[in-house]
Amino acid sequence: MVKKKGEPSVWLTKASADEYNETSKTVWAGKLVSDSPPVKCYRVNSPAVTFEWMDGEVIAVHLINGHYFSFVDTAAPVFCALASGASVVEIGMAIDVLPAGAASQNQYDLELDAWIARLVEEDLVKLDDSFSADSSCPEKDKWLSSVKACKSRHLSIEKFTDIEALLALDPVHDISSAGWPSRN
Amino acid sequence: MSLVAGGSIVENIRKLVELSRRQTSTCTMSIAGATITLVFLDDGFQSRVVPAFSNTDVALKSDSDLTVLLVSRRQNQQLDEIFDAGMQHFSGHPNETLVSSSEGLQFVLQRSPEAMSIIDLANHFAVFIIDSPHALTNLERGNPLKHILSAFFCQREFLVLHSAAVAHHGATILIAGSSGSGKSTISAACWRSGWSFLSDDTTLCARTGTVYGVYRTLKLQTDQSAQFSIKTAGDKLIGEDKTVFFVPDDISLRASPPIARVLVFPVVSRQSHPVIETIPSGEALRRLLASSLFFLPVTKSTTTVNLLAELARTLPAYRLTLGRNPLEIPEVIASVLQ
Repeated sequence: MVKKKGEPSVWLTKASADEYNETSKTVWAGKLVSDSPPVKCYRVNSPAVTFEWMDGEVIAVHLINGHYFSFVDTAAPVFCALASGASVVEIGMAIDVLPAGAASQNQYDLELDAWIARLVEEDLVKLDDSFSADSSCPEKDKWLSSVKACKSRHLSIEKFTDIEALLALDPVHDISSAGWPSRN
Repeated sequence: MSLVAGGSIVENIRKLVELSRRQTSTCTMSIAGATITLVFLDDGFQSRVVPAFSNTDVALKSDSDLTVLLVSRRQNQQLDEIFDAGMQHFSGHPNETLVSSSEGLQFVLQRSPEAMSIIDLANHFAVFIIDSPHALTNLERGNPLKHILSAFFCQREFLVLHSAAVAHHGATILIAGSSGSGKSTISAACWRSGWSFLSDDTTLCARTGTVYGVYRTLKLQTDQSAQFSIKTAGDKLIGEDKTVFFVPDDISLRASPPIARVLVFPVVSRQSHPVIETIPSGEALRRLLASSLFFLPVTKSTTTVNLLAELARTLPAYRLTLGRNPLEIPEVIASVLQ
């Protein structure tokens, strides 16, 4: 199944897709702007989160809670595309050119939504309200091309918590003007 | 900044600096190109701290990149009160470390042994406060001033790794892993086979790939140390769990530090013989993160992750599954150096 450009399902969860169908007009920043959905972009939650591209694998580290994550196969360039400013629609379009897999396109869009929701839940990315739909950069285009070149559609995420316990033992305290810091 | 004690940490440090100028008991040493002077405000520190370092000169006085005062808390009433106030913030875990920063100072509290490090990196000055020199445990004597030196070398853009390091035919092998993963066992086995020793716990890695050990000590499980008949320098420090060995200068490598060639991540197993297998750079970074990122609080930074990633990308990485006989390990590691 091939999805047409501009279809909202790429960026909407199933629940919000139903809502979208009921109210086709979109209110964005308090204004009625169009009947198309707003372009959703995310940014990496830096400086709390940092990530590295490691020969086809992305390792993202949450420096506050000590969790770190591995993204392999398609998930790796998708994460980098998201981090470089690609909108969810652009990523969905890039994935769109992949050969059809076992899942239907709608199911796949839901998988992408769920995957991004998990990134938000893990505090790795945040919704970026400052995104400009016309923005283009070589970095983003490079990663979108990488997404298009992927053979697999599966968006994986592997979480590691083995340093969480170590971090819990090393809480960071702030000195206040009252003297020695109070316990956080 | 008012302290619980009513004084100022900065003021107290200034007083200590004045005290240190009158102090004649010092030791200057060279680690990774930096000159570090230890000033002993209690004579008991010298014999307990200096043996862990090589390239030391108790007589030499020169401009230092870092001056570290070692002081007993009872010598200064206000420091004593600061110490007590700080210690109240521990939750009780034996290895808990707290970090705080203000006015450019960094404080690290240790629970076991109870000690406080105050680090003023802007002024190249640090203070280590402990109940008395006798309160230093054997393990602390094996790796003294770890928090201060790690903070100092992080600032100098070294990667401070929770890693052992040995060298063979001019190549350094970095052996990274969390506590109990086998770093010291591998170091001892390589030492026993005539390889050079750089570190069994705290390793400095420069951006150039040059590797330095901080301490010339090696810690082994006390019941395990008998299988390594290794010639040590001076007396061993025998503890209930671990024994600290002092590595002789002819084995300990400091003068011409070699370049890192491979990364090895040990895995303890019950299999008969050790096996070494290549791993991708992503797995290497994950293992480096697990072993080194939160080794010390001062290393929590994006820069550290970048440096760890650079290391993982640059060096071939291997998973070394340990066998029953550690003396077979050097040959297995040597096979990937060829």
